[in-house]
Amino acid sequence: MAIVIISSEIKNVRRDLAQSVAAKLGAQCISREQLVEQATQAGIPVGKLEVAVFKQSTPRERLARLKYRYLAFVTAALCDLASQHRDLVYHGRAGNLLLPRISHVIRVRLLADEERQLQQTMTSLNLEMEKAKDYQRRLQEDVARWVHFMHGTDPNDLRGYDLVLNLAHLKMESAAAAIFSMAQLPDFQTTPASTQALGDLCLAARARDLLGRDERTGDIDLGVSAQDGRLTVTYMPQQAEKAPAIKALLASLQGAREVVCTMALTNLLWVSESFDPDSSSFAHVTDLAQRWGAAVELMRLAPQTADEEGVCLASAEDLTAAGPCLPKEMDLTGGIQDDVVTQPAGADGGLASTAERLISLGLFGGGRVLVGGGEEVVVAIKSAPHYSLVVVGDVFVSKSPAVRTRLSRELVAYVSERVTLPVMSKEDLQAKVVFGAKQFARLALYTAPVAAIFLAVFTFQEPIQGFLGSPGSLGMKVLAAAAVAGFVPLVAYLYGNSAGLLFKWLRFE
Amino acid sequence: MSTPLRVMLIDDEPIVGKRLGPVLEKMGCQTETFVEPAVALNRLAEQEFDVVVTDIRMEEVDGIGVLERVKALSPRTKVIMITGYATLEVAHEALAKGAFDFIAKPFEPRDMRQAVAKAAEALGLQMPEAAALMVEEILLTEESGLPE
Repeated sequence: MAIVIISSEIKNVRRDLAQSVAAKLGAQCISREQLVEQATQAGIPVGKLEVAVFKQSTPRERLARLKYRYLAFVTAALCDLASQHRDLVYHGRAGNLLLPRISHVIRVRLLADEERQLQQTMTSLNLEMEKAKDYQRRLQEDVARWVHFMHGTDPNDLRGYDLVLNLAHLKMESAAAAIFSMAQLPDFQTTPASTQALGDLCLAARARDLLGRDERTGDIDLGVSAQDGRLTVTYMPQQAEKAPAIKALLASLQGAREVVCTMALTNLLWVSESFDPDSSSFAHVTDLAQRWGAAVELMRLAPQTADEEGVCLASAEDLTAAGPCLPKEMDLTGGIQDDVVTQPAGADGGLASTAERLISLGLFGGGRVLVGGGEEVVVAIKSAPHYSLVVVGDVFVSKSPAVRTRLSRELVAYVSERVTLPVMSKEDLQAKVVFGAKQFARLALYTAPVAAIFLAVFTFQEPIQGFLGSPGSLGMKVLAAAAVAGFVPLVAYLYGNSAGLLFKWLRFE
Repeated sequence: MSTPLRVMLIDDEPIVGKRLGPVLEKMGCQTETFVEPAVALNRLAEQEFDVVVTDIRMEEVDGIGVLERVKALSPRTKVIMITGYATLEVAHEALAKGAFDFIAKPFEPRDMRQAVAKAAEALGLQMPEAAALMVEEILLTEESGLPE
């Protein structure tokens, strides 16, 4: 069984090569355009994902969900085709990223002859040379942006390909022959391991696709994974009422040896005035959440103005509402929705972009905006008792650094005194999760004397026992007792710090 | 009083005209709606429009064909393309051929209002009703509780 994926931005060139290879292999040939058409007809507004790279009109968290729905649909469709046909050839933009870590998939990067391509663009689109060049340049730039947005990688990163063919130096027939020959190599034959890996990938994609299509589960963030036919779906605590629908839907899914539906163990509440998904705080919070199997809930603490009380402005549901965008809805409206009041870009303190990144990590537990201070935060925490940790990030950002630090500490202290769960600042969190050069130095500093003490105690047992147990004068006994009294806490201190740092390094909690 | 913006709306799905027509009328546009592109093209030969809003995927003549015809007849006319099957390739083809804006379906009426208002601005035309609507939208957004 051969699966060949040909990636290129130039549709007509890759289509010709794909058809040629498929004819040689006797394989089914399918294009990205066909799958996009099917996805659109299934109710996934793929056009929104396309246009988003040059025109930001759809909220980012909604785009993030659309992205995963689309990828699940395409992966599931490819899996269905691969199961129906012995050999499969797919061609499309960034196709090499669709079936990752499957060893029997041949990933081909196709480079077109630029001069010939320019001529073709001029002819087919009826454009003058300058306009055709401009069209190609802009399209290539936007395709690169699209690949980065959809897959987080560069389409020109050659590590993602098994073969690169340049049609400036190679005829189409020769290129097809090269791919056909490569498909015969033992390296690209199916193995039990690669078959199992493809089966798991397909199972997870089918489950995600199925859940995305249903009105009850289409708008929630779920972690879906499969291992050896065992499907695991993780949902957030606030989505517990959707769990029966998830189970009911997946009961009809074929190919799953077992379906496990689990709720994320707990939620971390991240309170901040501004969020940044590229910040070190984000890395620390998500690192901890992944270790704990927790979801991260964002609470944007907006500054309180004179005439505002502590009111919740937007609930988690407001931020997470994406809607399953069913085809039926599009038929009824002709694709013209009703106006929805949304926040202007940049007015949310990074809430949407951070939510988007958490969704991509499968860690998003909701988000909301709260106007006020410590009192409002305490009320909000007490009203949702599923948190296990509160992290206070950047707050009072309009104040001077000294005032900001003081007020942040006061906020942490105020909330800590009034709730029964741990509350820490971002600095405390950093100290808890980060293990860098400084921590290594401390580990060495504590471990070296501990090792020396152990070595000395076990090397000089007789003299030590003699000193502690010899029938001597009262003065000697007092001296021995004082030595033990001083030595034991010192060893305990050194050993405790050394062990604590060692466990932290090993990420054992 | 300023001259109303003349807008032609072409989509072979009648529901689109029914939903978008009132939106554009409320902005103060004088709108003509067509479900057959060929009829719309005949009308274009008779009357110049400030803005043409056209679907891309249609049976007789596709939106790119409409765009080319509009630009040949009236280069100053701004063409806004709408489609439920948007791709980067089609979007860039439309923009390279002179489309003013490109909107992927499904979209909210606000997206169309903004695109038409931008087109009017590019034509140097004033739209007091559109401006009032924009102010209303800003006020609505602020009332929703967004912090400054």
